[in-house]
Amino acid sequence: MNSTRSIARRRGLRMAAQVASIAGVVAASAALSQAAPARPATANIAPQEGVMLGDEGKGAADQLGDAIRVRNASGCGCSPCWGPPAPPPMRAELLEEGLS
Amino acid sequence: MTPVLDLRREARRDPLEIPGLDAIPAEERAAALANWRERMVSEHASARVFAALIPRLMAAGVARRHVAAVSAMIGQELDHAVLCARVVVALGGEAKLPLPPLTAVPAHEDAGPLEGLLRDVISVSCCSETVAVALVATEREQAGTASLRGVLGKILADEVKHARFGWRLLDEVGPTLDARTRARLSAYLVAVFEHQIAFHSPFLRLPSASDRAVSLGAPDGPSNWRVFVDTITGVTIPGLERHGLDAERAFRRATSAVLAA
Repeated sequence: MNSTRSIARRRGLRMAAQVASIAGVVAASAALSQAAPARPATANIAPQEGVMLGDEGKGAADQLGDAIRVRNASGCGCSPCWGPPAPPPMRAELLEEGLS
Repeated sequence: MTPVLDLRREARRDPLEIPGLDAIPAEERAAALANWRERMVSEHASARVFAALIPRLMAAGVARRHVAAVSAMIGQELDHAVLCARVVVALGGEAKLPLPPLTAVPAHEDAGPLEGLLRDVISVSCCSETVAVALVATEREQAGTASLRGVLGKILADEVKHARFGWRLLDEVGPTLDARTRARLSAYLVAVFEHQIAFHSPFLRLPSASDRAVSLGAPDGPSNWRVFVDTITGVTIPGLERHGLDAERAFRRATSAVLAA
């Protein structure tokens, strides 16, 4: 079951990569993921800067998912949403930080 | 009064058959039905997001073909809702539901016309619809009948157009952006990623689903969450970085508050 799902996910990801024209990057990641735990594009992020998503033991999805569960972070409701939501507004402090 | 979406007539006009339903336990059918119902109203409601892009595209002075393409996307989202309604009825449900809260599309008054447009396009096409391509393609792979595969195939073909639109627009106008606009867009990405994480986090509350349930369109929470994170980190972030936006830093910032807790 897991292998079927993992193949389906890989195909889905590959299609998204083709749409964004970065198929090469994902093909390489997919090949890597067959041999080792998944290393996302953010694997080189330094931990002292906030996040260590490239942890060898746990994938980015697991780490982030665990953290959100622990915080009981709220989403848009109790069920999954489909279709693009309205984009978020800009926050003034982000703009100030971005330009400083 | 809460607006209601009633697609019973549209679903009756062109009924869908899903063979072998009797062999599937009621709770698995119910999980699939709940998802298709949610999807029906979400798809319908998302038409307004594309509609809001039209004045932005015009104000930014982009080519007519982009305006025409986004106009078509409004109808495509409405059509997806009807496709979902047909599945809802085939699974024994009623294609009539209250619409979810219709959050306003922000005016981006702090940005010029092109920057405001790019904020929306990055959020809608480069994030939401790119994730949708990966999710729907994954679902289509696992669809258990030709009729469901057909429905998902039609939705997927449109999601590809919606996502590709954003990436192509970025290819077109990205090279013309000055450093200040790139910095402002990179700052906006923090809000976009926070929003994406919140939007997709309901997957974390869903259990894993059996193969049988998934073949009818029931969501597998852990698998869908993984598709979301892998698409953002493996496709969207590298794609935005390629256009000179500091997407990695923005994602780090967006996730730091959650992961530091």
